[in-house]
Amino acid sequence: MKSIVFISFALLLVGCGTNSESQGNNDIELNQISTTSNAIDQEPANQAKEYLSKYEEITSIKAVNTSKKLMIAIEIQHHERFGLANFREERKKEMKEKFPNMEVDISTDKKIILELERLEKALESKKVSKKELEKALDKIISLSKEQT
Amino acid sequence: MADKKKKNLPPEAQSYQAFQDKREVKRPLLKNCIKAFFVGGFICFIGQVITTFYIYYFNFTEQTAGSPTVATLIFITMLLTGFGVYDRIGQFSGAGSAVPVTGFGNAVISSAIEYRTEGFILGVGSNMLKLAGPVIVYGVFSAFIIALLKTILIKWGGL
Repeated sequence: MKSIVFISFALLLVGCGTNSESQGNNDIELNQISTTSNAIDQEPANQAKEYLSKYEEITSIKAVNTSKKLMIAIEIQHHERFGLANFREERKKEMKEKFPNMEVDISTDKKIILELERLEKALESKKVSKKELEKALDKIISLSKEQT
Repeated sequence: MADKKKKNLPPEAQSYQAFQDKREVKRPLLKNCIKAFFVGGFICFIGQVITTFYIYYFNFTEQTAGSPTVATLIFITMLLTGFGVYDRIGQFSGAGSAVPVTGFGNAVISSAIEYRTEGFILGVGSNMLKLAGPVIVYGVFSAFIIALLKTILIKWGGL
């Protein structure tokens, strides 16, 4: 009985301890896409990544844009997820102010992060035409707006 | 309230109660809580694995993956209840297996199995939700109250 109590408390302490290490934002995962030889210039997406990387809570940023739309997906530290909705709304507001001529969307959904990562990789390998990129991004945006 | 009832008992019954209290094996409350915590947590972990599977391999987002995950968990519980495995888990962990959605699945299927002998319509059909019915009623009722409070706070409270 005593050993069970001891092990469970030890596990709880270990679980709590791991979070405090990942302060600071040196290990943020972001990938600037080449702006010159792509179907659509990815400068706005790169600017958004640069801007958002100053937030310590963010651990990974993916962003892709077409000429009119910008889709950003961010991953934040797990214990920060309590204020996820507020954080997302505030960043969305900032991004809309920064890119007033574009339709900006921010998502914190794992699926959107995965899809944007896939699209970023395709853009890097220059396998995507302008039309394909627009179609893929529209699909991701509609996926991000799906509700239960 | 229990003490009040005891005071009203005749003296023989009271002394018997005292005699029984001394010899009764005490419930290992802390041990039960820890068991429930770990088994319940493990069920939630399986749920998270299923959610991640749906997100990675199908077109579900974090928002939409919830419903198929719940359906899958209930289906697995149905099978486990049918094979008599979930009852053992329930005996071991108590609330740990009853509080997650799998407990709901277990409540439905175990009543269905129990009333199987009384026929499909008047037996299984009418008794299937006997245990799970209160969960649905109070779940819907409390959801309504919370939604009402949220609406009042957001619309009029300026939250």
